[in-house]
Amino acid sequence: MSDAAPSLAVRLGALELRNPVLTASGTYGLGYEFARLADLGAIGGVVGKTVTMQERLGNPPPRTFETAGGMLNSIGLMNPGWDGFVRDVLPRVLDLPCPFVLNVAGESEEDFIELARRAGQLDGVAGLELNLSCPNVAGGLDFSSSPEAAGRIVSRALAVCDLPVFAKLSPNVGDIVPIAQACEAAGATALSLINTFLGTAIDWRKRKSIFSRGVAGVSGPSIKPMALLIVMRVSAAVGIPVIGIGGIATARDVLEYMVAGAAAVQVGTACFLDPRLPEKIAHELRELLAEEGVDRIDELTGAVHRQQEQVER
Amino acid sequence: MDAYPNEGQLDHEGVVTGNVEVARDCWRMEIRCPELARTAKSGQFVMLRCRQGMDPLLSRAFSICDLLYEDGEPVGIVVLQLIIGVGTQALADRQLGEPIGLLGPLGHPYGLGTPDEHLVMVAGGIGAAPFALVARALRERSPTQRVTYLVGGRNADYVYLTDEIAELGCDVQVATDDGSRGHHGYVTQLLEPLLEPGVRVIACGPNPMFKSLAVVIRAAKERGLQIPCQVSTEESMPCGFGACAGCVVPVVSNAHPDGFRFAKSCVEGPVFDVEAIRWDLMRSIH
Ligand SMILES: Cc1cc2nc3c(=O)[nH]c(=O)nc-3n(C[C@H](O)[C@H](O)[C@H](O)COP(=O)(O)OP(=O)(O)OC[C@H]3O[C@@H](n4cnc5c(N)ncnc54)[C@H](O)[C@@H]3O)c2cc1C
Ligand SMILES: Cc1cc2nc3c(=O)[nH]c(=O)nc-3n(C[C@H](O)[C@H](O)[C@H](O)COP(=O)(O)O)c2cc1C
Ligand code: FES
Repeated sequence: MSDAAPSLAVRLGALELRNPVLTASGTYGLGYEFARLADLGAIGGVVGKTVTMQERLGNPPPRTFETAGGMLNSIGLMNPGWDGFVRDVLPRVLDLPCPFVLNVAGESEEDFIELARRAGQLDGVAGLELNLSCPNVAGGLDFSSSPEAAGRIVSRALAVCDLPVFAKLSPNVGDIVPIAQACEAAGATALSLINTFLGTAIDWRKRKSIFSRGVAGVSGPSIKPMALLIVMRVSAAVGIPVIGIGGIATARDVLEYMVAGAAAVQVGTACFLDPRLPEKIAHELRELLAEEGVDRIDELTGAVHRQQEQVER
Repeated sequence: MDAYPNEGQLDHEGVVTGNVEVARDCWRMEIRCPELARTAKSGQFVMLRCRQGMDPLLSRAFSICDLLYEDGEPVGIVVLQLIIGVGTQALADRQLGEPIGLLGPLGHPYGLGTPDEHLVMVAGGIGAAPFALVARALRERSPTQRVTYLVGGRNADYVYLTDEIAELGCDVQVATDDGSRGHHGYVTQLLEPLLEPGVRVIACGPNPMFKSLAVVIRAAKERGLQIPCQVSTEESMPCGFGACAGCVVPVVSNAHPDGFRFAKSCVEGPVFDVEAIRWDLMRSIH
């Protein structure tokens, strides 16, 4: 083996990551719990569970339901709230051997801005992800359903917070491209694409939905083709980095997302199979690239678009 | 903050070394996995990959029923599984010699008190599973401690581990819903006459059983008899190690306005003090 192992480093604006593999919000605890179970120094970073202004107990069970190749969830943003986060979670995530990205959601636009302002005052947080797209709380999707609302929240957040800001968008919209473009125009550092698709499950004997709210979010390998297309379409239409999310469970999935246009990725539901899966994926990436003779993983980002241009010429 | 119990490497690859139907729809699987077996404690559980690959996607939770020994050293685990759906059916179809991915040992073990107590194990249906290992652990600690195993089931076909646990020198009493074996009625009815100072109860089974257990324990308390009692809940668990918040149970919390909060049962439990759970808010999945 040559000692010039392939470089896995990627960049999201000013934020440099050791490799493109992050964990997705809500799928890796609050963020600190698995430092004793996994080598988090081997992954690109951890994105924390969404933090809201007030503590949220979350939705009553049942909260999840398994589907073919995936699952539905209606957790309802269970989290300790800002004060609980700062008191109990923050000191522990700052000890992690990888960057920690704070994910927040507001119940109103003002909440988002206040959370961004507070996040901007924290030392040691690597970035802020705005969850504009939670399907499991009332009004959670409204923030990414129009370009105006999404763009306004991003630009107001950037005015009060110096961190790199990622806008996490919903796939449950007519056309995601103008929303993504509005976030770019507002100055977003990157786009996190996507949050869960809306879905439900029915108990036909009881003649009702399994979920108390009637809807839930679909995640896991079964959503990968749809999410991959969204990443491909959006990355063709914006100049800022896209973080690909949806059904990633293997190193090959990561490379597919990168070729489709992602600069980095987040592993969500697949983390439930093994707390060390993100680190195993990162190791396997290196092997796959070496086999293929690729020196730098970031060269792959958007390769599909360059191919496409050649075909069109 | 929750006391997070899991440490070290949880992911293992075991080998299926036994898989036989031991009762109606109930399979006993032996898995060789020395690293896991060495640290497993009674009341803990594992997450098993049903098949190779991603279908079904999520792992399934099983109590560690017993340990396999070689030259006196633990080298594997036994799980007892009731077939109820795709995942458990896929596990029943597993062949000898196949590798099987698993996570564990997970969760808080039972508190077993001291050998001078009378320990009563209360099991409903497949909730019997953890008690073979509990009984073994108790016997290793003290050959003379008084231990009773109360086990209930729908009918005689669904009553488990009576011989194994009797062999370890425990008193065994059976109850069935239809009277086909033992007491005709609920297992909690067998508990009531045993309650006296010095009794400790640990239980595993369906939520309706826990609810009547909670009533029995509370009634004793009102008579001035405080019985330590732990239950092991079986809320379905997508991950088993605290990543998803899908497995919550309502627990008493005076710090919260409505007097409760949701606790991740995989990491704060699965073993809880019976009085810690808000049974009025607990749903029945069985
Ligand atoms: C900590 C813990 C320990 C367990 N120990 C054992 C054990 O030792 N032996 C054993 O046989 N089972 C045990 N279980 C239950 C076991 O995990 C489920 O039976 C299994 O997940 C069902 O998978 P399936 O794919 O066959 O069924 P599915 O197709 O997932 O479900 C079939 C039906 O069962 C219901 N169901 C799903 N999960 C559960 C659950 N956890 N409890 C009750 N009903 C459920 C579903 O709602 C559905 O109606 C344990 C569960 C937990 C959480
Ligand atoms: C149980 C669960 C909880 C989630 N919680 C959050 C959350 O709090 N905030 C958020 O932005 N996304 C949340 N998500 C969405 C994931 O971060 C991710 O966008 C989505 O699941 C798609 O990726 P996947 O298919 O790899 O899971 C959650 C997903 C799951 C399955
Ligand atoms: S099963 Fe995922 S947090 Fe408990």
